[in-house]
Amino acid sequence: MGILFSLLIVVGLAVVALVGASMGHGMQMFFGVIVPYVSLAIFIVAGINKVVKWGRTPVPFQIPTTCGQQKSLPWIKHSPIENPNDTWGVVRRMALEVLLFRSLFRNLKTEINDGKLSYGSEKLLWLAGLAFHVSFFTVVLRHLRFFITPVPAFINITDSLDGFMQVGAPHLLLTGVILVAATAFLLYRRIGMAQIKHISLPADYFPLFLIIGIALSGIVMRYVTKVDIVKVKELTMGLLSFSFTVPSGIGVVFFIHVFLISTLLAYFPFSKLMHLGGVFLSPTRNMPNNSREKRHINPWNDTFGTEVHTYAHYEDAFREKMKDAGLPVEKE
Amino acid sequence: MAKPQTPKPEELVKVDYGTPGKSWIDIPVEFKDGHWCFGSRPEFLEAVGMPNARDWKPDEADWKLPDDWKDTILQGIKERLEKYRSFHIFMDICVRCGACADKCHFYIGSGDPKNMPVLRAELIRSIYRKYFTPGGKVFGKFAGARELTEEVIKEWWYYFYQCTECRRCSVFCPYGIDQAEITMIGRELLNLIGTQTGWIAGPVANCYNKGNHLGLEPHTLSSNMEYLVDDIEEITGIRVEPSWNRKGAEILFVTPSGDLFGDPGTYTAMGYLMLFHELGLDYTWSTYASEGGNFGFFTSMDMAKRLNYKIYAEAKRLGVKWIIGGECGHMWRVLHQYMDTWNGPADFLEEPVSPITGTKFENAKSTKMVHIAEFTADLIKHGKIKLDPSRNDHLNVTFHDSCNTARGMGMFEEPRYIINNVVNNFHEMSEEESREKTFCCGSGSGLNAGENMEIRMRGGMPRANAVKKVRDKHGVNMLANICAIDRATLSALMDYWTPDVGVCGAHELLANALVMTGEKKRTQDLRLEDLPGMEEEANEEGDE
Amino acid sequence: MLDPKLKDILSLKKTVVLNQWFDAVLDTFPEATAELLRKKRNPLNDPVAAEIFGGLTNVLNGFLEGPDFNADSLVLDDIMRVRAVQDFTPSRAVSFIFLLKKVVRKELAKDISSHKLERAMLKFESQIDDTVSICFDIYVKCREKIFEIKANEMKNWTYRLLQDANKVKKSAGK
Repeated sequence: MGILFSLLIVVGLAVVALVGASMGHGMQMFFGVIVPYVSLAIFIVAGINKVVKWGRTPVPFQIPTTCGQQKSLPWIKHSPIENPNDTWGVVRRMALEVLLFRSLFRNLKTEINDGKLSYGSEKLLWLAGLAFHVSFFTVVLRHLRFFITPVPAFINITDSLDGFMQVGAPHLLLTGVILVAATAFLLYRRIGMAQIKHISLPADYFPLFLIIGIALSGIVMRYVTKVDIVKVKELTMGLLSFSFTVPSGIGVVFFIHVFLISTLLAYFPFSKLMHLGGVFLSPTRNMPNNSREKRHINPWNDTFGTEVHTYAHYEDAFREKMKDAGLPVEKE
Repeated sequence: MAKPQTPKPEELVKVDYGTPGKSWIDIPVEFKDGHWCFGSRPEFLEAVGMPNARDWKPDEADWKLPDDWKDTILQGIKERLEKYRSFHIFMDICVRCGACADKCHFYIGSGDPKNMPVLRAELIRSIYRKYFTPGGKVFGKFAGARELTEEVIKEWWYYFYQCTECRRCSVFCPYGIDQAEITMIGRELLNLIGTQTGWIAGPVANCYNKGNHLGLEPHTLSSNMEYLVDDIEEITGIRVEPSWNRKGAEILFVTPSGDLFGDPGTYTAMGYLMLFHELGLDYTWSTYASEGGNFGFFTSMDMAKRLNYKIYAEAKRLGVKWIIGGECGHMWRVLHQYMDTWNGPADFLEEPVSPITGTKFENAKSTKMVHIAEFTADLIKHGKIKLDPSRNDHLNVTFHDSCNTARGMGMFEEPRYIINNVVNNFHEMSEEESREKTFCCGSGSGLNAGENMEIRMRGGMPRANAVKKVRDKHGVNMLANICAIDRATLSALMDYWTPDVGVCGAHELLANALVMTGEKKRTQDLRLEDLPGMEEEANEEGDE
Repeated sequence: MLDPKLKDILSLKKTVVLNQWFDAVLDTFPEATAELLRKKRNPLNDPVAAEIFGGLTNVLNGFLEGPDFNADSLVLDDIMRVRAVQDFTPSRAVSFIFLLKKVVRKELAKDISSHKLERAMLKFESQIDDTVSICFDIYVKCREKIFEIKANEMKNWTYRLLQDANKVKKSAGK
């Protein structure tokens, strides 16, 4: 139900762009220029706002989740990445987490071996997650060619690596295929696996459909309608130079593509997609485990836990009993 | 909250495929017998000045919440969003990938979907969305948001007290979302309106006024220890002489009070007494700070800090140089990650140096509190104690990593080093069930009551299952650990699932192997049970 | 022991019988749980389902391979120990064995008539009934154990205090 709803919204968005873009130059201006500007502005302002809000929230306690041996006695082998003791360790732990999804790599699945419950390695989610993010990132990187003149060498290299299979014309770019496949798998998990379906919200299906829509419209433009790249670049460069032009004959698919991207951008800061920023700030991962070595300061420490039961109270309550038991007391 | 009815025979064989696709939000919480703890009594809350002290029963419809409970909870959430980056981020960024779902021992054991960490967090996230995010305000249920009602409070209470704050889920989460953190905040919120369990509130009140969870007064503590001292004398022929509240001692020793009174924890306490005596350590126990554990930690940060205050205060009053802490799980999470921040800086203490080996404990130079396993491992490494591991030859030992020392500290090798030096037969549980992936005993974070025994047994099932595997494969008959709650609760767990496996602390094993100066020939272990074959092997030497 | 012919047919249809039985057993769980467990394509993806499935497999194998179940059967003990701490009434806790009858009747209906196995089937059903009684005994034993543990825990936690209060002799207390 949430699935169908999310799908319908994405289809609806595409239809809106389709109808709009077919209505002539004025509406193309709206979908090709105004909407991207607005959504980008929302993305930047609301995104930064969210991260700043997080960043301003104090980290009262040093709570890393330790996944390896602590640094204690010099002869005990310390695990500097899984249980970092200093900033350099944290940097490496975070790099593994952000670039290679270290924690997901640990994933286990339940099995029965010889009639007994045991746990085997489960790498599919890790693989799909990584494939999705890496291909998405590469696709975004490739798109920089529409915004930079001349196209920097690294983008051309990315493109040629991506199209190394040299099938079709234009060359099939592998990341596009991987992106669609990985997104489809992530969607399949949510629909086909009861456990995951049970925990999924419309907010989980919606971005997946949106991204599939973006990828498919992009693929259609490249391989089917063969969009005029020169005109597209004219438009995108216009966006950068604030010289709002929408060349005619770009084709409606382009506007669907851009509208879905705009939706994604505007939706991003208000959604779980903000994990992009949050992952860097997660206190269980980005703090060193050295809380006994170096005191962690909580800015609001003095505002709580002040009413205490002092030793004087205690001795007052039990002085006679303590004396009878031969325990030393402060006041006779 | 209807109790399950006895089904009719035809119902027993009925195949009913239910309503597919029902959202968890639409499934009301059902209080099942044996899954929840009794409510707090008013006097416990009054003793520490907690709000809404009253008589109430969780299985009754009326929870006697204060009139403004809803505002209190919402204000409480707002305040915590502004105070804890962890909470704020964890409310926002979960993508519901499901990696945590089957990592929770309560989910594995109960199959209740709301025991998946992700859903346990959604219980509170749904409220966060409704009242604190634009999407939730506008789109409501479609954005995964819902109204805050008394039913929600009951659901929180039921499930936040079915989480042992073990952090296993956070190991697997790609963003490090820690359900322990969310549960802790959830319980704080519940405490704002006086909904606490008696099993937690009682020890908190006791600890506050009397210094320990059991509420033992100073003379009871000191006189009770004499029983341990008597037993040690019977076993070794040596009378150890512990001191209490002694000013000028070099070291203050703090451990969970449970180990002084409850079996098998007492044998671990005897282990400490014997080790310290053998070393001639200049140390003292305290009656005022006689609790290492901190049930305040299962109540609120405020309460935890107030209870924890006593340790540094007592160290300062007695003028000791530094502190050693005994074997305990959540106690060490608190000491390691919170104490210095709350009640430090401990600038009246000195950086800890072992008086026996001269080792500087660099990793504890700010807190000035050293874990006994670190202290003892260092002794063994330097050959400062004589050990005869063959006295433990009748034991096939495995080691249970306690959640808090594992995932809130990273203490894996120190206890293993000790155990490997004091026993000859040691077998690890599988990699997926130990170290950072260790399974909880199912009774941590104040859930070790009697009335919720069924869920304890279910939650502990994955742990027991792992023990069963090493028992069947290697003949393991002893489960060692470094946690006082483990010693109590794993005993119950083993008794149910694997009755032939005993439970002990690492320092019980150590003390059994410890060759003390001037001791008589050992024929009994610390449990006053005969040491098998010790007569024949009396002239054999331990090889380590 | 199972009639050899019935055993052969049951062995051949083991997978389908097991799956049907598993589905039926899941219905003895609370709605939300059962729904999740049932929808698994592969029961092994879920820990609880895996555990139940493993138990049922062992019990079915027990019926097929023998020896006949008795009060010391580990297979029954394993499964009952789990069910005794689930939220079941005693009747529900042991009912899963009954469900096997129905499933076998349904899945082997044709074979039973074509191979004239009615008598063997009746015998098998009475064997199942006996097993239910054994399960019930184990269930009761497990429940007693739970209460014993509760009592022991209380005693253990405060052992030394009781020692003080009652001056109990350790040997007498143990």
